[in-house]
Amino acid sequence: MLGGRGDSCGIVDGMRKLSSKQRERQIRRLARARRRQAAKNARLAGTPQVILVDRWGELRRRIKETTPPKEAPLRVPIGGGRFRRTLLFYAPNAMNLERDYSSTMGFIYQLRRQAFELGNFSNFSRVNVIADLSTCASIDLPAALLTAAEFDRVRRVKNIRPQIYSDRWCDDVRDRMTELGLPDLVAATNKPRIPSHKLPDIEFVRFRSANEIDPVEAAALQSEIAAKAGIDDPATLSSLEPLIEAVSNAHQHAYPDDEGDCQLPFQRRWWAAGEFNRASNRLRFAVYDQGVGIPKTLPKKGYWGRFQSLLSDRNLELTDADLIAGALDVGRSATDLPGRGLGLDRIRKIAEQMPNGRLQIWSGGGLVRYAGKGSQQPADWQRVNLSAPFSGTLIEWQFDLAPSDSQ
Amino acid sequence: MTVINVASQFTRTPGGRYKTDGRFSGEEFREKILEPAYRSGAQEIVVNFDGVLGLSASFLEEAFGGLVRRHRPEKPLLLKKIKLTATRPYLLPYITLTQQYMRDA
Repeated sequence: MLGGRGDSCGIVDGMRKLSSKQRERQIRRLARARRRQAAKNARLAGTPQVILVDRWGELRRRIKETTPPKEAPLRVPIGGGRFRRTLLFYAPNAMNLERDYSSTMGFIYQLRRQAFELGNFSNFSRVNVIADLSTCASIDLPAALLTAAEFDRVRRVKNIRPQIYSDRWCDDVRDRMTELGLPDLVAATNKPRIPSHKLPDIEFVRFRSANEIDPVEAAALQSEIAAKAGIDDPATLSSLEPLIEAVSNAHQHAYPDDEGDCQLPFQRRWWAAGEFNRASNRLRFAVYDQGVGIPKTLPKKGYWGRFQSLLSDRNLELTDADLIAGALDVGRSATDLPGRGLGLDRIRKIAEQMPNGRLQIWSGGGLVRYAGKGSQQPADWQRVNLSAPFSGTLIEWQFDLAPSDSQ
Repeated sequence: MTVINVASQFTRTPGGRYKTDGRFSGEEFREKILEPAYRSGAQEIVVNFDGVLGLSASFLEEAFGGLVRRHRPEKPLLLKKIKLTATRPYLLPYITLTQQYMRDA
């Protein structure tokens, strides 16, 4: 459970002054109508339901159950017939971008909507927003990175420090998010009551974030990945280059100055994390940015012609997935300056070179997967058109380490 | 002959392309290290990559490709003058890559 707190909202009914009971009844009526509308919208859109909570006693009991009295800052009823609006929405059972993309992104959309888009609740400090992760049984690395980055953006833009109540989270989710460093990333105001337990066989590389291409930070990330994987010389891991390339792409291309139609605030940051599974000897790490996405940053002139001819040679229609795959094939990206966009090509090299390598890129409305030559899958791009747009770009690498590497 | 050791004279962690991108960029390396070495009139400039933890394409292209672009009339001379070396196997592909960027610039 993660939420922000602030003052209550006043309710005005035209020029008529209402008694507290009338006001409360009116709010409940409005809440019911809004809940019905939200449920209808959710049914139509297939997204998780937003619940505007008006059963305050129930919510208070729930909050009391999950937080000790001394640490119970989420006091929803504020007395005198006044109360604070609270929005509660739930995470899906499995937060996994590969297996359940629509539900996972539905949760992320809800968070974005509550924080940045809903007019009535745009002042985030005046409502409680509870993103309930207790309904989530499992979360994989890309989804964890995406979720943590969204929470981080909300707290930076709205200038709030969230509280995390992870008591009722599933053990796997709590341990994973805590080991990855969610409380530190979002500067949570409280510490988890239940300490996390190290998951057997999994070493986590904690969330990192910066707003520039910081090679020292990237090298530290590589060193941490190597240390977790038990590799003596981090340089032999060859992960620094794709990390810097991904971060460079995020920094140089993801947040164009002239992109005026983006509804969400840019933070011009990148986030990264990783994990090493001892049992399978498999390493995975990911970099995420919240920019406009690769398809939108492709050149509109210059190399665009070459790019289009390459795609037309293959008889492709220009979906976002094709654009991403094409950008990596052509090795060019946003600018037409000499030598620009070379990094996209380098990003896939590690997936090609390492055993059982795999690269996945979610960006715009597309997902592309690339399996290296040593992989069981064919060494070519697999293109998937996403059911809902993925704002930003998430690049994930996975590969096996040779047994001697990880000793 | 001028010998440049990137790790000891610049950084073990080269970064992105431009100075505006962050620390230890290719532009910074070109301006602070490569250009002065070229202007000094040395017969040969040996750039040694040993010790760096990794190199990005943006860094290499801007540093070496950028140098060629800035001195385009002297491109053949530059290609002859600059020697790239490394003893660690994982760094050898970067030498090929850098030479390609200089040729393509």
